[in-house]
Amino acid sequence: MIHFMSLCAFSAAVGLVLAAMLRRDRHDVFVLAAWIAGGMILTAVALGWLLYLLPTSA
Amino acid sequence: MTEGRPENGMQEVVPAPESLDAAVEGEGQISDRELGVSAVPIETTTPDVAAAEALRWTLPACVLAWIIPGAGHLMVGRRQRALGFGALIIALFVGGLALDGKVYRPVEGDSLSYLAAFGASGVGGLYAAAYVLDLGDGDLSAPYHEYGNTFTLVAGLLNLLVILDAFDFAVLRARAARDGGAAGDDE
Repeated sequence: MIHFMSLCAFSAAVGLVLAAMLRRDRHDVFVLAAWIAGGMILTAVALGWLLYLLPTSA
Repeated sequence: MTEGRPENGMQEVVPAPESLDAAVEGEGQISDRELGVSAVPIETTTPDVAAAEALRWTLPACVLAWIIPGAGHLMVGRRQRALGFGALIIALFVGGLALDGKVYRPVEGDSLSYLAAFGASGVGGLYAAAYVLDLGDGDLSAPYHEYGNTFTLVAGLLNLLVILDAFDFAVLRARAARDGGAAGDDE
């Protein structure tokens, strides 16, 4: 569980910093940060499942 | 009779003063020249001087932003951004150390380590503190070691972007000073 928590904390921090640099209005900042963080989390989970399907030995 | 108009109805032509000094002297006040101030009209110099003054703070703002995350924004008057950036980047870096991550250092013969060290050193003061206090060795056997590595590295990379953002705001402030407008809200 702490893996997922770390992923969420990391995504939220990165999303907030990037969004604060790209947007001026506070509401827009949080909306964009949510999109960035959500995209990062979904991509990480999707990539994790894709890697899970790959064979582990040659 | 309309006030300010001669009796014949023609617009009275008032000769323009040859300089600001002449206009001021005409009202019986002390001229700039008498005060030892430049005779160049102040309306044309003030915005340029203000812009130059604001630009002078650009490099110190960037250096301060590198040493202390968020301090550059504080210097250019963006308090909320400064607090947000500072808190997030410091939390990422300290969180990385707490997860037993390492702080990348240049290793001789490993060219990629130079690149990683450059990225991690973006947090400036924190990187130096971790180096001096010997905190950035990490623990390879720790389960979250790789997470910690990523946290410390990305904290540095994000702070490099924040330095560029502080530079943008410093230039924006100088431009606003030159144009005589406001640099925007303090958000």
